[in-house]
Amino acid sequence: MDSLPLWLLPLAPAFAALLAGVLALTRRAEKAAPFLTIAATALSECIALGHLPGGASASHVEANWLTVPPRFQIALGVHLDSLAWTMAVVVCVVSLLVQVYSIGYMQGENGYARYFAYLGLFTASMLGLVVADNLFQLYVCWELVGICSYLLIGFWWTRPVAANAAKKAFVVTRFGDVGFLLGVLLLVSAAGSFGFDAAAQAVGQAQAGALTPPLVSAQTFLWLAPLLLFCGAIGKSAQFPLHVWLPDAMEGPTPVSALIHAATMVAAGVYMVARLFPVFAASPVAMNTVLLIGTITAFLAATIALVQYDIKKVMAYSTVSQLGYMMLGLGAGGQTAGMFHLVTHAMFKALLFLTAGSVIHALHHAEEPNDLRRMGGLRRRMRITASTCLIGVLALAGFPGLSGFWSKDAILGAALESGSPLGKIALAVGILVAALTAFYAMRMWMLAFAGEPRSETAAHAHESPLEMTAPLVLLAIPSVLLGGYLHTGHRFAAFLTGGQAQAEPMHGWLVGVTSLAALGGLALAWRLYGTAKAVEDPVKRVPGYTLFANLWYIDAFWNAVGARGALAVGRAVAWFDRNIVDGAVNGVGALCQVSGRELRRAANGQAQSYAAAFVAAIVLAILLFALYQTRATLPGSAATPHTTLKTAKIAGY
Amino acid sequence: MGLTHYLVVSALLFAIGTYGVLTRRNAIAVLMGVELMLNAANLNFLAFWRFLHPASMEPQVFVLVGLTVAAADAAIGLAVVLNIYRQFGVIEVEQIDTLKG
Repeated sequence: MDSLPLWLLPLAPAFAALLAGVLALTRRAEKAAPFLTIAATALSECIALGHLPGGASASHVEANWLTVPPRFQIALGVHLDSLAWTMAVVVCVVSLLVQVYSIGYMQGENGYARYFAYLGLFTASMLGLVVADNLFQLYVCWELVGICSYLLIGFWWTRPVAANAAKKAFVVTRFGDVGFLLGVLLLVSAAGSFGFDAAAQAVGQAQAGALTPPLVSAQTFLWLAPLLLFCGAIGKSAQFPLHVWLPDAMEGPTPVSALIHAATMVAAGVYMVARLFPVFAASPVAMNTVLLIGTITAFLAATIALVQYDIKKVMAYSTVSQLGYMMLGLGAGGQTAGMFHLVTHAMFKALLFLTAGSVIHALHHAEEPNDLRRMGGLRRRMRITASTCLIGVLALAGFPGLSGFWSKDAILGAALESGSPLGKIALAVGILVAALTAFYAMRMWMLAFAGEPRSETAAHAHESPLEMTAPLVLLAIPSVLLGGYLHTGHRFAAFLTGGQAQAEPMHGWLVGVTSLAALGGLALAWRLYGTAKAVEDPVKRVPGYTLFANLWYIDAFWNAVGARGALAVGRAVAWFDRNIVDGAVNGVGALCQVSGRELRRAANGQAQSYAAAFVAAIVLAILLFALYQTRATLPGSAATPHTTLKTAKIAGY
Repeated sequence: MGLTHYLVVSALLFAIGTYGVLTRRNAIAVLMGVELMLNAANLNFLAFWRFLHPASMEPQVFVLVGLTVAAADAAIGLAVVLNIYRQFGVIEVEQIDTLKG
């Protein structure tokens, strides 16, 4: 596949999206749309696979987009090194399977072609993001995937909940993007170029004291730039405290949740940190912030996931928690560990979301198809979904040998290696979160698939069609095997770092502890939800249940502070506009009216009063003229205003 | 009798004329005030000619023109007053206020 041009990698899905968009607009042959975008994504996949980078080499093609004399250039292109290649393959694989799955899931929906056009656009934007080699392209595509996310969350825009969720996602991520843009501008102004290499070099020079960045001192620059960039990651990757948009984003179609809000787009923040790792690694402050935010996010979201009853909400909070895990790994200095978890998580979380979609699809006639309390007993009626979901759950829980186990261990290993006190805390929290994860994942599975049906619809559910189950099986395979394969001989680390990876030692006791935590969580959930026919959910007895069920009051906090604050500012601005700005404009008009009305009284039609005005004006003019003459001719001397008389005296009269 | 005396008389005439124009209620009296003002101006002209440029003839010409204008003014003014009287039935100026915008 070497013959295919590299630039088609992001552009093929873009063309397909364009064509699908035409089909959507003309409402003709809507059924053809998925085949266009699927074919384009498959083409991208082939191109990516054909350009496997070996060692430190990278495939590269670029076009100059803008030149600012004398030497400032902005290029758009494809830069496929091992990191980008990994992400590109993940994006293509998940996107491909999700699109195949969507053929079944979205069957008969309004806007069928529109849906695939959006998916194609998203795939193109995401590929553009991962293959960028400069901050400019990264930023543009960063915003493009954001808009695709907005469009797809609000796909069922006639439902107000979905429309609001889309707006929330867009606005909340914007908070982070402001910081991201500032960070990009700061880096670019210091480096004098948009390239990632130049940014890393600039940071290196600032460390050596050989660079004076604009606006701030070199020391400030070193911690400020990565922190600003990290703001973007906090928004995009749903980290505490901006994670609130991701659970709401579940209002979109479930395959979209699998693709965008589990596997790819939300991982963009993690990818960005990994991509700009030299910038972050130069500053202990930045690294500790990443570590801390990741740890907090992982813990908070895991506790919230414990008490959710909406199957997609469980997974959404699980995603937030796992993204926090990746950040934890990156912050602890484990660039490859974070990326490793990103890859395995993309597989099993996409799998989990697609199984959830399969369940929802089977129950979509019910009132609340997402509600776990109305499921139960589905394992007998949906065998493929149930078994693949169990694989996903075990992989997520870190069951020994499955994908999640290896990557989670790599992250905790990185936290242990970092050696700092914060790293130790992160390690402890990480182990706790592993146990929590195992528990809530198993709880979800038990509630949905085990036991007896708890509603009429659940009792009569049917397995989904082949185009939906096939992707489940295809995703189950990497969920089981990928982690072990990549871990063996440190393949992944060696691949990412170009073969010079130091072997990360496995810590025997750590493996034991995490395995125990995972198995303990699984077993506990199995016991609590498998045997007891409890009327009350056991999680309600957990200390802190109220706190978890109220989402730690973070949403409430944002509503109170963020939304109300924005409203207050908006009202103040509106008041200013209505009273000050409009007041000035209306005041000019009113002044003209009033003065006109008053002046009209002077024109009373009496010729004598007009004549009086003439006389008064002439008298005034003469007085002023005399005054002016006095001042101009004889400053300081006695006033002799009448020059005529003076001339007369000179003439002898 | 010097220039100043003539000028004082002329100024007084002008002031009286102005006062008449601005305050009389009868339109005929207003016209008479206008005539006084014109004559004040003529007197001014002649005084300046006599004391400053006696050799020059132009001021006399000006004054002759001024007299002609005054005569025409009186004729037209009286005609206007006559028409006003026909139109409104009065010649009291404060009762004629149609000259407004």
